[in-house]
Amino acid sequence: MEKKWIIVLIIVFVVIAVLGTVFVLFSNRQQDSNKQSEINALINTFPASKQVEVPKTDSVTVPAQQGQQVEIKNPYENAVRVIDSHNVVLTEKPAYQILYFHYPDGESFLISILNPDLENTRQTAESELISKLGISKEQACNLNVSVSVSKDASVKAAGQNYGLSFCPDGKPFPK
Amino acid sequence: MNTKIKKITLPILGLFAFLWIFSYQVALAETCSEKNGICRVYYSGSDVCESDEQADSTLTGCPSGENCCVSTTSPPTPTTTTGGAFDYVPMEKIPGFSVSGSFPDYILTVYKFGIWSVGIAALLMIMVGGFMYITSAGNNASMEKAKGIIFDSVVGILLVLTAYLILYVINPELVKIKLISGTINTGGGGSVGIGSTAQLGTGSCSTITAAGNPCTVENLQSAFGSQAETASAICNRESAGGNPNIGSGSDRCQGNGVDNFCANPANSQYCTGNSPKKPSVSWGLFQINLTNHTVGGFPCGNAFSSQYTASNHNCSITNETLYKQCVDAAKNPQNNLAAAVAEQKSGGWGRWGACYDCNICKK
Repeated sequence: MEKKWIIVLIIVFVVIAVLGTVFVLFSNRQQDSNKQSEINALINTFPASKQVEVPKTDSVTVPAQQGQQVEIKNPYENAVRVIDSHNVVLTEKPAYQILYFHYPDGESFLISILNPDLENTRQTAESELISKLGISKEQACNLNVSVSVSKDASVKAAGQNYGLSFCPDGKPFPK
Repeated sequence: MNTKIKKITLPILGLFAFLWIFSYQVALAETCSEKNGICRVYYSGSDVCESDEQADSTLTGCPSGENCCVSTTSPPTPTTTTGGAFDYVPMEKIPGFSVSGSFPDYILTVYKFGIWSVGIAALLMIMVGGFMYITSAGNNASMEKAKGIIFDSVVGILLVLTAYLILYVINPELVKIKLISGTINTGGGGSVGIGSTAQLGTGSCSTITAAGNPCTVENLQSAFGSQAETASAICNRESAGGNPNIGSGSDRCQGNGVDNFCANPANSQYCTGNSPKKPSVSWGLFQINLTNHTVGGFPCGNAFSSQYTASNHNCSITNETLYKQCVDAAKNPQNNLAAAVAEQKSGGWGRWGACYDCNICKK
C-alpha cells in the first residue's frame, strides 16, 4: 500500500467518524426536541395551566349541585399540602386521602380509600371530610364528592365512584 | 494476516453464538405470575386476598411483605411474553451503561460494551499506527509495521460493525435477544414501565364525569384527543379517582437501605403499604414509574440503584434528594400528564395494568 493511500484512508476514516458522531448526536437531539415540543404544546392546553384565584378568607363558598352554593372552611388554609392552586390535599393518611380540586370547570372533593378495610375506612374518611369543611351531612350531599378505591386496596372495587355513603346517590362496595 | 483475522473473528463469532443460545427457551421455576396470581401487600387486620382468591404460599416471585393470591374463579388465559420477566439481579454494573434487572438487557449491554471497547481500541491503534508511520523517517521496516497496525485496526472495526449489519440485513430479529421465560399473566403483576399489579378482566373502569377533577374526559381531551375516554378511565383506576397525590402500594423498592429510609418519620409520605413500609416508585395520576422516567425535567432514574420492573423489586434509593424532587414533580398533574402522553405515544395503553383490568387492552 502506498503512502498516499494510507493518508487518504486515515483522513476518510476520521472524517466519517466525526460526521457520524455529529449526525447521531444532532439527530437524537432534534428528535427529542421535536417530541418534547409536541408534548409541551399538548400539555399547555391542560386546564391546570389556566390560573384560578386562591381565596385568602377563612371560609369560601363552593358551587354545589342544582346551582346551589355551600359555605365551607377555606380548603387552602386547612390543607396538609397544596400541590398547586388546582389540587389541594386536605388529609393524607395511610388508609385514605382527601383532596379538594379547584379547576376552571368546577370544584370537587375526592376521598381515595387505600386500605382494604373499605367500609370502616369510608366511614372514617367521610366523618373527617365533614369535620374539615365544617359542614353538615346534608350540605355534604350537595357538594361534588367522589369516593374511589385504590386498586391496591381492592381490585374489584377500584375504578368506580361510590359517592358518600349517607347520601341518596351513595353506592355500596361490591361484595 | 490470516492469523490476525482469525484472532479477531473468533471472539466475535463466539459472542454471537452466546447471544443465539439465549434466544431459546429457558425453563423457570413456577412463580406467582405463572399461576395467574397477583402479589398483594399485606395490611394488618384484613385479609390479604379478595373473596374469590386464595393465598398460595408455595409460589415464588412475590417480594417480602406480599402474598400471592390466585383466583379461584375462571382465570384468564395466560399470555406468553418475550423478554422481561426473569428473576435476575445484576451484581456488577457495566461501566458507562445503566443495567436493568432484565437478563436479556444485561446481555445486550455487555454486547454494546464490547462494540465500544473494540471501537476505542481500534481508534487508539490507528493513532499509534499513524504516529509510527509519520515518525518512520523513511525506515521501511517501521513503515510496514505502522501500515500493518492501521490495516488490522480498520479490519477489526469493519468486522465488528459488519457482523451486526449483516445479521440485521438478513433479518432484524436475529439481533434481538428473545428470552422466553415461561408464561406471564400480563394483568397479574406484568407491569411494563408504568402501572402495577392488576388482575385481568375482574376489575371495573369508568370515565370521570364530575367537573373539577384532573382526569375528566374534557380535561384530558387536549392531551389525548380521541383517546381521552380511555385516558380518563385509566387515570381513574390507576390513581383512585384522579388523585395526583397517590403513590403505588405495590410498586415499591425493596432493596438495601429502604427500611432505614422509611423508618425516618420525615420520609413517611414517600413510603406505602404495611409490614414494613417501603418507598413507592409509581406516583400520581398515571402512576409514572420514576425509575425509568424523566419527570418535570428531573432524571429520576438516577435516584435509584436499578429500574423497578415486574421481575425486579430489588431497587434502592441512591439519591434521596432527587427521589423526593421526582415524587413532588410526579404529583404535579401537568408533569405526570406529560410523562403519560410520551409513554402512551411510545408504548400504547398496554403499558398500564389498568388497561388490562378493564379489558380496554386485549391479550
